[in-house]
Amino acid sequence: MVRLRQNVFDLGNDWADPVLWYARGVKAMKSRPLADPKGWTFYAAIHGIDRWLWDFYGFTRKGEPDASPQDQAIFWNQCQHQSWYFLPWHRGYLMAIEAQIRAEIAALGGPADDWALPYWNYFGTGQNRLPGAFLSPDWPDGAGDNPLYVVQRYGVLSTAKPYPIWTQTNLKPMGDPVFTPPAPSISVGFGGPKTGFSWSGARSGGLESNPHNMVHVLVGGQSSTGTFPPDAPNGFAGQPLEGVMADPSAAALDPIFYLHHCNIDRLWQSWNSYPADKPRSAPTDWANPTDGQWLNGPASIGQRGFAMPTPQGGQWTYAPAQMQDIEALGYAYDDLTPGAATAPALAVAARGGIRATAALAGTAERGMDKVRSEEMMAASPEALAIRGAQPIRSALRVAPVARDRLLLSFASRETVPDRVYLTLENITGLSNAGAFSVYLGLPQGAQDDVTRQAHHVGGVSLFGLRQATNPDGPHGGSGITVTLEVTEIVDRLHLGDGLDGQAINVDILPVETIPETADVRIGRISLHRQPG
Amino acid sequence: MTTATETGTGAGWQHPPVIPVISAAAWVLLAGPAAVSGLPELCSSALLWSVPAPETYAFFLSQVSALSLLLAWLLMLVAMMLPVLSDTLAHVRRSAFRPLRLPMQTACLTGYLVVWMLAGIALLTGSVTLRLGAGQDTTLPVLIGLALALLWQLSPAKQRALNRCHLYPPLSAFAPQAHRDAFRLGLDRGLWCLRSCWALMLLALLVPGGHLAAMAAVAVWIWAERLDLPAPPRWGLHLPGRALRLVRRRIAGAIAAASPPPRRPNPPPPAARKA
Repeated sequence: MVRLRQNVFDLGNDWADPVLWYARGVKAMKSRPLADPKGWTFYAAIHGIDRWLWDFYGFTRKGEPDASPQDQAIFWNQCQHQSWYFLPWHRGYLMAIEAQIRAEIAALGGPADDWALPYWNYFGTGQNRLPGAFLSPDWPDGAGDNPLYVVQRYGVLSTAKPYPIWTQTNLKPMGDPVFTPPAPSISVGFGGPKTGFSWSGARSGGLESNPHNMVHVLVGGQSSTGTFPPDAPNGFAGQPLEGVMADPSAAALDPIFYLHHCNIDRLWQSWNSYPADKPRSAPTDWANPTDGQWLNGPASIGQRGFAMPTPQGGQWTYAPAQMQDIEALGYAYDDLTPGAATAPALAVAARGGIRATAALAGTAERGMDKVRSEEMMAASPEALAIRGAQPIRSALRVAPVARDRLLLSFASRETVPDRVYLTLENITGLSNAGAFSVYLGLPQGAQDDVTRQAHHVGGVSLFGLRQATNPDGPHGGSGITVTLEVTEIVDRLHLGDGLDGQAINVDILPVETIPETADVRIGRISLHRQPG
Repeated sequence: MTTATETGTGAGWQHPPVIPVISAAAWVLLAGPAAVSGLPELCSSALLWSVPAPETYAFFLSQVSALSLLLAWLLMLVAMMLPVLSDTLAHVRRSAFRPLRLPMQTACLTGYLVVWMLAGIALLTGSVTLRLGAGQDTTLPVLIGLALALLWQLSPAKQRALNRCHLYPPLSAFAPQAHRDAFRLGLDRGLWCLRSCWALMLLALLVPGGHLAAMAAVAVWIWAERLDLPAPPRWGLHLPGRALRLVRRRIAGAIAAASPPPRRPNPPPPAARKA
């Protein structure tokens, strides 16, 4: 039996059956205590739990017993981020909660067998707003207690009003044919860097950054009025209240989380197989890793494995190898078009004519030699503090010799052009809810949308920043590092002589005010070339 | 930037693998006959046990040259600590413009070694002091070293120090600040590493025999500790869980290969079950 995951906006009405039964299933799960592996809060804790925050927001009662230490060790705080395990772990997570929701629907006498989560394609026309059933505290018949409603949603994408999401994020990573580049490449690929078990890591993969991380923050956001109390622990003290979707340790409490991740999972499937005839320069293009460490998961290298509770009270363990074929797992999507214009071809121009190099973009066959030849070609002279909502500019100082090697590759008709990556290194701070747009080479004073969009690198979300900044957290306080491909923009700069100077400007524009007390900093910004 | 926890190994950042080769060479020297290097006995502080008690530091140093001791200590550091510094040096390399890679890595390594060389003076002095204080009793210093190591390993301070060894800060790209940052990273890494490992290193100096084995055991333990992700500091026994699971997995694999058990079918994913 194949269960169909459908677009939540194409179901006919806000409270179409799949949504209504989802709500009833969620309500049933919410009636269970935190320690119950069949409960809503237990499932959310599998993704991540900050008990103080949960108690503060009232998702759990102060003094409510935690799960047993054994259950915590097996199940809780498991979500894989900043990792090549991001996509397969979340696919298993979705399947596990769907099974639990189906069990609740069956217990209520509903149509359990073919029920599946709908997905939220925020790039779809008219779909760049929160789905209707999630907006109101009331059920469709008017009674209160709608379990799909969450008070703590403060973001610009959490209302009925459409938000121009493409101004903050995009689907550019869908055009990267490499799932994971050879370590330790500067690029992060479509699926993320090679890691071990990574509950909180340093560098998100392409799809994880855009649109995944950004949508979390655009929905979660931060309160413009309320703040956490001054005696709050874990870096919350005095900070603006954050939406639960903005924090990996609370995000899965919000029922919209699962529709968002269904869309991310759909994009993975789309990247794998849609369209069937997309350009391919190597057998590994658009394919999942074949590395045993990916296929067999972190348990194969002595770390925690992936485990989910089952409705029958048991435990289901899985590895990425089992997550690769969505149809074999019993699911299908009603539509695999990404939902917005994407750039499957890496367009790199040479002087005298544009030369599309999609067929040459893969790196797999060039392997480690190319990775070793990567080099930094420009860097910011100092760290950058992000405060308020004002734009900030940093002039990256260029290493002329490295820049000349890049230009040589662009000019040559015999070699594959270099790819270029912008990295924002060691971003630290106490805000999970901040986000900003990044522009490269933007002319001074440029205000028109066309020019700005031409220089728009992408969005950076601070989803998970607080954990990554904690010195005793899983990443030792190094913060997060964001890598964005900028080959097209750099090539345009090159054609317009914008690379000839001693500096390249990077502009940062916060989506909303980033509080000064959050002390958000970018340790360094750098530009790297990767031989093609 | 790519970090140790990303790759899990620290390998693959340079070709040929310079650090493992240098470390292995140091181990060979340490394990070789004293006539070849003249260092192993000194490094393992074996001569401490040939000193009749009660003696003075001056007498001890009349038997063992301070320079030889320091060289021996340096060789031991290269053998034991260079592998755990691999990811840090890789971080420096990736943070540097191509012409600055080697100078910055050298600055980082220098900072790290400065800390540990100074620490060597303190640790060797400590081990000699314990030995002299214990007279002919060779067991007491070991017991004291063991107690200190156990106490430290159980402490939250140890975990905190271990956590700091996973920090990969941003470095300036431009000289001379780039060199200063790299040197400071080496110093910081050395200080946190020292804070994390001092008790185990002291214990290795205090054992009356089997020094090479003791050093190897401590080196493996230190490396295994680093494989685990940072954890909240608290009192308790922090075993290197990842390394132990790996060993268990390998042993189970070997046993399974020797006598394959009947295969159990993989449980179906939740989606395939009827709710």
